[in-house]
Amino acid sequence: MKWALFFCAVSVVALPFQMTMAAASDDDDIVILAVKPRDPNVKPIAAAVSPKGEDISKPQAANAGVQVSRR
Amino acid sequence: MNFKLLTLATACAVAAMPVMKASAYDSILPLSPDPMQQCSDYAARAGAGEAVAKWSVKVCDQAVDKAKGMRDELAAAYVNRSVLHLAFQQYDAALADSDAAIHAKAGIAQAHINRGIALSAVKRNKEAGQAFSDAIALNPSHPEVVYFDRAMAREDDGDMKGAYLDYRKAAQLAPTWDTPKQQLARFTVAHSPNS
Repeated sequence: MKWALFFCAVSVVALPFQMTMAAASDDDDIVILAVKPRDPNVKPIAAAVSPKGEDISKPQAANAGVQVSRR
Repeated sequence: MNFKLLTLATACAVAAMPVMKASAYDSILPLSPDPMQQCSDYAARAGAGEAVAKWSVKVCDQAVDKAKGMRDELAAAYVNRSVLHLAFQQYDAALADSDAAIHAKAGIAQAHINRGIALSAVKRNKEAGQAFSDAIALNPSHPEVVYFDRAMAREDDGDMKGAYLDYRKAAQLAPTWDTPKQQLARFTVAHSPNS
């Protein structure tokens, strides 16, 4: 009974570590086979601020991004 | 007499209108009671992809002048002017303003974001990726935007897996935002059985 409780406790404590390792290995497993070209209209999104420096960007509304072209 | 004067003044005003309109757009600044607020407004519009007039940069010049000696306001004015420079594809100026903002106030995530965009635009993609990572480390208000921007820089640098993971992170952070999901759809992905 004591051993059962001990193993149970160890399992519970180890669970977050196991989950972290699983998540990390998921990313490690990924292999990119092919990538289609990006639409040139997709632009990076610049960040404006208020006069005091607070963030005022609205990323989901501002889906156009700044008009940045590559040199 | 008064009627003649009024007629003459009206005629002059009508004749001068096209000139005034063209000049106002190209060179003459409108009176700006609060250039710092106006600069911020123009930057917000430019950042959202809206068209802004060239003289908006001059409004931000005024904002920078007015903010001298005020750390937060000066950094903000530089950040906002850098957004306008990006919109007008003046990447060296955008980079200089982003650096000036960081110098004025360390820890302003938006300056690092705009710095990353400027570097990416001139194909300095590794430095751009680092600038975006610096922005992420500062806990920005909209981290999904920074991951999205870094994804583009990584993709341009040939780091397709890094780009994929960043687009995915952006999509996870902002599930209602379609653009990262649309980018993810371009990737054909498999899971390696060896790992």
